[in-house]
Amino acid sequence: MTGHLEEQLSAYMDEELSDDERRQIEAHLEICESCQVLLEELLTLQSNITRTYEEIQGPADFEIRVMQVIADRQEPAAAGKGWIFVPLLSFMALGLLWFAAGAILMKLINGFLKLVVALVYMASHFVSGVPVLSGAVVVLSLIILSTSVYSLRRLLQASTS
Amino acid sequence: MVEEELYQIIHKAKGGDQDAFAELVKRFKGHVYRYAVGMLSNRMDAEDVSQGAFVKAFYSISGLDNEFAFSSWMIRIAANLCKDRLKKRAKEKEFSDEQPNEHLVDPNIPDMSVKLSIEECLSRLSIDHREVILLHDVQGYRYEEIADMLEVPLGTVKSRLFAARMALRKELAKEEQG
Repeated sequence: MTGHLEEQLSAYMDEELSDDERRQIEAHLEICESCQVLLEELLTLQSNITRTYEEIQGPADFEIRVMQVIADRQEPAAAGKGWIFVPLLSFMALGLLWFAAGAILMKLINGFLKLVVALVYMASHFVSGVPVLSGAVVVLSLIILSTSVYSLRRLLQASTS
Repeated sequence: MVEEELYQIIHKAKGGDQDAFAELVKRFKGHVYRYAVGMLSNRMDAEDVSQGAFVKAFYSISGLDNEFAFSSWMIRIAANLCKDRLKKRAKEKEFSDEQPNEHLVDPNIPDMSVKLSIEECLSRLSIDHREVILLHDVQGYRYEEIADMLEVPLGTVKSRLFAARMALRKELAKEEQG
């Protein structure tokens, strides 16, 4: 028997031949003992393979583990998306607040500025009213300035050495 | 009726229904796992690859064109992952061969749980031969379906399956003699 026909023998047992091809193989099998033996062997081999793997079952609780992996992957993804929305929502909330309470806020800022100006004016009057105080301020400023210069020099010397 | 129910489940899973997808995993886990065991000859690797295949399927099921082809689509995903794993093993083996002083376990040796000679002999065949035997004799696909899955002509499936069977027969004979 040629190699080509042996190949046909494999397809014959799988019922993958046309009627003509099948009849040709059957006619050959009737007269060829070696092909009969090979066919028997291949059929036994095939049934052994099928039986061996049929016994292998999918792992228990496998679907639960698969769904857990999917859930674990989705959680960080969802959390990641959430973080994008946090600053966006904050800006939106600020915008809304500005829109709703903008007028009141402007009045508050205006009042606060007026208060600061009045306080500065009062402080200058107080300092000019008491000459000793202004003298004390000048002396204190000079002390702070000289101390700062001295510390800076020491610091520079320490770093270069 | 059973088929109709299955297509309903696949349809729901395509729409993002997680319970439906879990049901699909339950129904097809044996199908995918058996294929992975046959290809990798290692139960732990097979479980890992099967899990990866289903996770991948979950994220790409919305792109499944034909619900009737779910089983072969699923095997195609598993097949790609199995081949990636086998390539990784080959690289690791190459690395271990380059460093003979370091003791590394040869990952191509089937694990101790694989005791059946059929499994042992199948693991000694080429990837193409192993695959075609599994797809036909274990998974039960017809030649035409296998040709579609492997993207090869029908005649190639026919000749490859015959060659694979002859190679397995030879390996089994060697096993019996030795």
